[in-house]
Amino acid sequence: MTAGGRVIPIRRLEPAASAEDTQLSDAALVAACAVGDSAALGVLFDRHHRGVYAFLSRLAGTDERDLDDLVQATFLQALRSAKRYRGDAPVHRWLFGIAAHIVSHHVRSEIRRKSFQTRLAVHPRRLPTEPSVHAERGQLIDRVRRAVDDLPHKQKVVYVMCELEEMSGVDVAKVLGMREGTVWRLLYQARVALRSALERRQA
Amino acid sequence: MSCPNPVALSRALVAGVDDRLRAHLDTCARCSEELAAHAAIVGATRQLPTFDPSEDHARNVRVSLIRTARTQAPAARPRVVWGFAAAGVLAAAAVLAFVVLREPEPRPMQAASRGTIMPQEGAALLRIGNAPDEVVRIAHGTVSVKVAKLERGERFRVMTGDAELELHDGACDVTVERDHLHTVRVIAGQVILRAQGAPPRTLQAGERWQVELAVAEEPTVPTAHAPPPSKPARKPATKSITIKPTPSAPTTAKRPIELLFEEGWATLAAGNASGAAAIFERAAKSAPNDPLAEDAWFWRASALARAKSPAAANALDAFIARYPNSPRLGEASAMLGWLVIDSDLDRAEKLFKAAAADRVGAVRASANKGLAAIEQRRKRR
Repeated sequence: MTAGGRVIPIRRLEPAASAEDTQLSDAALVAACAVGDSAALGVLFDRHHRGVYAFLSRLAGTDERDLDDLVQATFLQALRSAKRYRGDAPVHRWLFGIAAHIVSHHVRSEIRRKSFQTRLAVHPRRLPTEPSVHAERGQLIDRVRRAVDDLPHKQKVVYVMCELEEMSGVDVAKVLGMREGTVWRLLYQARVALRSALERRQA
Repeated sequence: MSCPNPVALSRALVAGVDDRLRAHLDTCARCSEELAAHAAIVGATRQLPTFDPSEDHARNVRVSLIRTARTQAPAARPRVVWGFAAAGVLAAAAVLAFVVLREPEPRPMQAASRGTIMPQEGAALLRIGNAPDEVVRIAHGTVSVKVAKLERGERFRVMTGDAELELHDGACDVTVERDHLHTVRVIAGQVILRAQGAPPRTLQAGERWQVELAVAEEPTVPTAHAPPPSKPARKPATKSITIKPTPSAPTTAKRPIELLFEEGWATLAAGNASGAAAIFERAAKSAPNDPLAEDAWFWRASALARAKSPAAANALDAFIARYPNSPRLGEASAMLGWLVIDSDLDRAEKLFKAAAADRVGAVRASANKGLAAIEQRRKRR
């Protein structure tokens, strides 16, 4: 447009105006959530639900329906906690921290109860069964999954964040509200527990 | 170097192996094996499949989430005493500025924003221009805006479908109803108001401008910072323009088309222009006779144009045919003109000529620029 200023509807046609230029940042969406804007929450969900699903499915060891509840609880808690977000960590990692607390403090006991009841009735089927041709690999994955599931919660959260979500120790410490040294200690304990569990199961 | 403690060794897998540790690992089989065993387990755990929801699945969860969020929405903020309102807004803006300025991954090569915007619940807005010429487009709702002192060559504007506000070292609350400017409350500094069909005017701190409604005694839309009834109302600024009020007065329960319209705006603001176009279409089809349907069709076409969709031209064409008396006719014509300028100069010329008489200066400028571009192309031939 002219040098006098670029004005909206027309400016949309300018090739220079990329979508990235006009995107609200995650931080701005969280700020909108802080004043109860549910539309902003919807956009936040669109951007980050896959990551949160992946994180929770690694963490919670639960079925699809429970995962939906956990994901929903995570975003609802994000709406409530938005006022406290200070930009210390990227928003998706902040969401991981909320998800970890949700699993830890609110829903975990319920999931365990359901999981226990399910196990009484039928062998749990958390993820699609591997084809028979990949039976060996499937067994290995099953062993690994059980070993991860059996980790104490804090160790599991730290392990998943550090190793599977590839977060730095500093970020993990921030979103979980613990010291960085504690993160490294929990990570080490998780490694040792996983190793011994896998060796035990292999034997 | 003696063997590091096992925690430090484990940490190295995430934080990295420094030269000293690397030298040690070259000579210590025990530590090397330990590290390799940890790495092997990491490799195994990374093979664990994760749950990836389908689009339908995610959509269902999203609908449930938004519904729950709305039912659990906190009560509206209590009205605050006017004397504290300015402080409240400034404090909120400061918090937002803190958040925005500390955005972890600032885009390189982009000047810092001079303004902070604080949308109140239900507000639909879009930051459309970045520094040094910042433009925030508000479609609906109340937004608090604070702008720091600007340097030479910098601008900060807030736009609606029928007006433009320019701020320089000031703060104000802006209320927009369905793309029409409704109220401006200046909290600090000055605000220049350029409204449709009226000369520009400058509003000072403490002044409040409100659109003159065609229907007398129309209640003012309350904002979160409205002064209490007990406090004498400040003298309103002279009302300078008349805009017909929207047919239905604002109510607390929003209609489905309004909700969809807001969702469309939020999606557009998030950069998902194609998704926004689909939502605007749903909004328009949900209540074809609602006055908001016209806006929804317009923004659908705009969103498609922004998404560079081949359907954009048809959508604009359909809008022009469907709403020949729309106040947005000029905008739509100019947009369509730019879309067809490469393929059909004559048609583009006709469209730009139609837009050249638009009431909005920016539309006229765009149309004139289009006409100039056409003339140049013809000369080149």
